[in-house]
Amino acid sequence: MTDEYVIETRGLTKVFGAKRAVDDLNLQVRRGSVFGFLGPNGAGKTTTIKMLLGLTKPTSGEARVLGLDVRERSVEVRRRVGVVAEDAPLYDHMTVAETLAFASRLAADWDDQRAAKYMDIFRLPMQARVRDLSRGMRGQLALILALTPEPELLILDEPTAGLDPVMRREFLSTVLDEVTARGGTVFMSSHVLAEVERVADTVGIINKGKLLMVKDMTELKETEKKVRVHFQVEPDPAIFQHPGIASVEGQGRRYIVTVTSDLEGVLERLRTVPHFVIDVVDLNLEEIFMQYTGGKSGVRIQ
Amino acid sequence: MYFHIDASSGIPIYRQLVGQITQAITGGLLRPGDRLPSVRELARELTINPNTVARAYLELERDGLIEAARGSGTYVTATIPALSREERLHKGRELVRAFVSEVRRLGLEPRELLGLIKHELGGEEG
Repeated sequence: MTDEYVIETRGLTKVFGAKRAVDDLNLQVRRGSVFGFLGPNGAGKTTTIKMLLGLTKPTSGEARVLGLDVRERSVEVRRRVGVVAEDAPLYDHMTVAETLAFASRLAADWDDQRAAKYMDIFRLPMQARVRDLSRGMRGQLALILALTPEPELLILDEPTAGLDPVMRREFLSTVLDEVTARGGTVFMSSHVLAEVERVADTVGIINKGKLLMVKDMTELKETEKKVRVHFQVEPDPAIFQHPGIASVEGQGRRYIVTVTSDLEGVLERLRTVPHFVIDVVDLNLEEIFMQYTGGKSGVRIQ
Repeated sequence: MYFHIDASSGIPIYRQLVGQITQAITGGLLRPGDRLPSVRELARELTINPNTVARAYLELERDGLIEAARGSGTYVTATIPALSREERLHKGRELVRAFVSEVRRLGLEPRELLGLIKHELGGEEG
């Protein structure tokens, strides 16, 4: 176990009946990164997070969080990791003030001044009962509880669900400023791709329990491209045999080629055939995500 | 100084920042000695990852456009290194490629695109 990764799983698997909710997951999350964990609904994101926190027992495989085996030391994991999940463990009958006081007695490193600073940012009504808070306010309260002990790892499961766009920005800015700027790690699942695209530096895509890809966000955008090509003559299909080419659509003289590495090499190869147009299309995260999860990419043959 | 980040573009955010700061410097909007926002300030303002801002600053520093003064912030350097013709062509090629890709997304034909460029150049070419 090195100190480089705050989350490491090997062969992590969870089977529910006939369904492999998480299937042989090998994941490494580097210290200091903001890791965007993406997948369609039901892909296995929440089950993975529950296993990381020792809330659900893996069927097989292992997981270490902050170097701790989650099967054996889940209590310590949960004490040291900040978590904001949809089903935040808040007590409905308590007021916001009572919730903070309660948390301060449980947390190892509570600091009233820090808590007050966050209360100031989100302006939650101190005397309101938790049951009367909106979904967004509950999320903010959960974030305040998670951030106040200054965790080295913050896990967010669909954290901005129920927040309006302004509050969503404030929420993410606070997370980046309070966790990332002081060297902490953020692991966030979300299906709001635009917000992940803004804040994450590493992206992992999971679908049907399987981890399909993990990449640096910049590298992802710089290497995953579509090339639209209109040849002057019908090419020999062998032209598309290149390790950087993931798939080819089209026929005759017009094609769209999906490139996942060595763009220059691919272009050089395509240029050997007389052509009218060879045009590189940059892909955003949504287009890349669709490509991996089997949806339509939106880039059309013209 | 105002930055605009389009997170859902295919251009990595750090490249957008590098491009906009470079343009501000070469265009005279930022002058030698001007102070840039700190990594943290800019990250907070734009809601982007501080590591991304740091990466952009590092690249600008390597290009000699900005300089971090110990403990007091980051400044535009007094002298802007002149780019060689080759470097300028390279930068130009990158800009055009990114631009063409964005315009293509709008579904414009090459002919229409060329028309737009000619129109923009119209004033200069007479």
